[in-house]
Amino acid sequence: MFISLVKQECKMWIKSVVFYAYIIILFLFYVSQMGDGMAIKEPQPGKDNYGTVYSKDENAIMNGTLRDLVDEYECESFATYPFGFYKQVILSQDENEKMENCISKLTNKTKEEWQSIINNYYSNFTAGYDENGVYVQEEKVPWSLFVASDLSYDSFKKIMNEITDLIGSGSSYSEKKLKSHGRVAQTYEQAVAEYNDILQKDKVTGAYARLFSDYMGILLGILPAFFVTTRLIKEKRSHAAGVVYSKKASSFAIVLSRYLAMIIVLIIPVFLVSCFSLAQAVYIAHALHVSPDYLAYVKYCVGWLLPTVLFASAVSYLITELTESVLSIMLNVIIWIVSIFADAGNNLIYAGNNLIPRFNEVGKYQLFQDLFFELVRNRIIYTIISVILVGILVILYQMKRKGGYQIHGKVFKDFDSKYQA
Amino acid sequence: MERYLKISTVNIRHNLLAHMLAGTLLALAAPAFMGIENLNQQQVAKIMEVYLSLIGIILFVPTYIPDMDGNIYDLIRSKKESMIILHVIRVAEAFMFTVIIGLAFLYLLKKGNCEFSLIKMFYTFMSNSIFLGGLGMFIFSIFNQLPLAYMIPLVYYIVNYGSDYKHLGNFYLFSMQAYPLADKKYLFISGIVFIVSSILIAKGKTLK
Repeated sequence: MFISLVKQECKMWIKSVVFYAYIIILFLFYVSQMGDGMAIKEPQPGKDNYGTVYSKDENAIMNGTLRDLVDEYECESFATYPFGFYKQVILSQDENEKMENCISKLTNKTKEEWQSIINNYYSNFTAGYDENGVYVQEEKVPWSLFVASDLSYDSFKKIMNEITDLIGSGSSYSEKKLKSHGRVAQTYEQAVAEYNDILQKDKVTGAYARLFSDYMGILLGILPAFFVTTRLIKEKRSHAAGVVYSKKASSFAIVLSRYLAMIIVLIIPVFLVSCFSLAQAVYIAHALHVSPDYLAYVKYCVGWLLPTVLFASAVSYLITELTESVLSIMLNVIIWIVSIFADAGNNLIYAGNNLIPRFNEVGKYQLFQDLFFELVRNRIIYTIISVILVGILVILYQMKRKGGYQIHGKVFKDFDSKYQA
Repeated sequence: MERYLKISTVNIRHNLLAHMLAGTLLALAAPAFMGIENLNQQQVAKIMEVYLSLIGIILFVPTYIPDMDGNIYDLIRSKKESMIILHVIRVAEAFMFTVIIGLAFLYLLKKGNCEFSLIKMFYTFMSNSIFLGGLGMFIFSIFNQLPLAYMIPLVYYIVNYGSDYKHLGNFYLFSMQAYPLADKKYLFISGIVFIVSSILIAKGKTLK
């Protein structure tokens, strides 16, 4: 019976306009973001620019961070991006004194000593537009304020934690954002090593599958909500709830069959669209005489994208069943906005506790390896939460079936109002 | 005139109120997510384009919600007032509330010592909101599917997030942040066209 319920639900979705709109949207989004190929090329020697990398040299990170911190201290304002939007933080007098104390600890100098170094630097620093309208900066005295030579990286991180507490969330001094201060120009040798990782470790398809998952995750974090509300509206229009409640099938079977059918109709089009990207990646792999990993997209779709779909669907389904309204769309939009914009200052490479992990780069295999366990933990947590939410949903549905859940059936509405309107 | 007033009051009370509340909450929640003091024009443009213009979807799309029920739709159609008048009243209410929220928010930004042109930012906000809301209304009038009516404008918004002016040109929602001279008239006019077309389509449709 369970299988036939799932089949029935899937058949219903195949006849739905929303389903076809979803497929078209997925495909067009893929074409707009990845359609121009983004072909990888072997780095050539003698070029001026091979991009940038995060330096692993702790000294470079510490001194880069100190420089940015002092610049903001001198401007008397600190930039934060708690949700991707700029938020200026101006410290109070007490907080400023604590900040000065932190800078003293970083440099192992008194306030007078490091202030004097800074004053000397800025009084010999000019910036402005030349006669051609080009912004130019001139540094007459080199920067000479550095972290104390005996300061360990762990001590540095502790001081940065104090600074993050002062400035607040979204600052670039939190532990996971420290390396952004240590960005350095990539050398030719590093570029070649990265290119070889794409060929040998990613087998080309892995690199593109990551980028595909990055883009598709943006849509899959929100589109399931529309499927759920479509299901609700369809049921309301056909007045089928009462009929379904009286059937022999258990609440567990009904809820799970609907949920599973939704997951199936959401994830299968993703697999289908991924075939286009796979074809491109396989072509590139063959052109570079590399044997591609044909299952790369399957692994990433299941491991990376499926938990996003599971969670977004479970949350929407629960809220919709609870309120019998389209409130779940709004809630999902809020979750989506927070997920997309919360870590926007991280150069679009992050996982953390975010519903929509990002990795907006082709290749960068080593960077992905650094992020890998964080990503796996993230995906497992969201899958577990989804299972719990579905469990709660089954209990709620059973309550409604037995008539134990009566708040006029909906939030903010009473039966007569729509007719009065 | 009295009947029009009654229609507008009932629409606010039974249809639009929850959405007006949601729009207000969206605006009130802004200080929790972002700074609203000492911003420059570019930073203000980002808030108005990326964040606040979602109000267009919240306020304009519900225009046809009362008509979703076939029985109610037939009842409304049988009345003396034409469907067009009814829908124009609903759109006018959504428009007015959008204006109120936009102006109130910009006033708050001015009080926070932000530097920007009030007229330009208000025009930017209204263009984006009307475009997104109008697109949702247009889809709703054709398919009579509320989820689709919310989905299409939101997907267009997401596409803009991942795109840029080069690809979307004058229909790029976030143009003012990067190109202060960008002209929003294409978005504004398209939004009006969507709204007018949707009202005409909704008038002529029959529901099963």
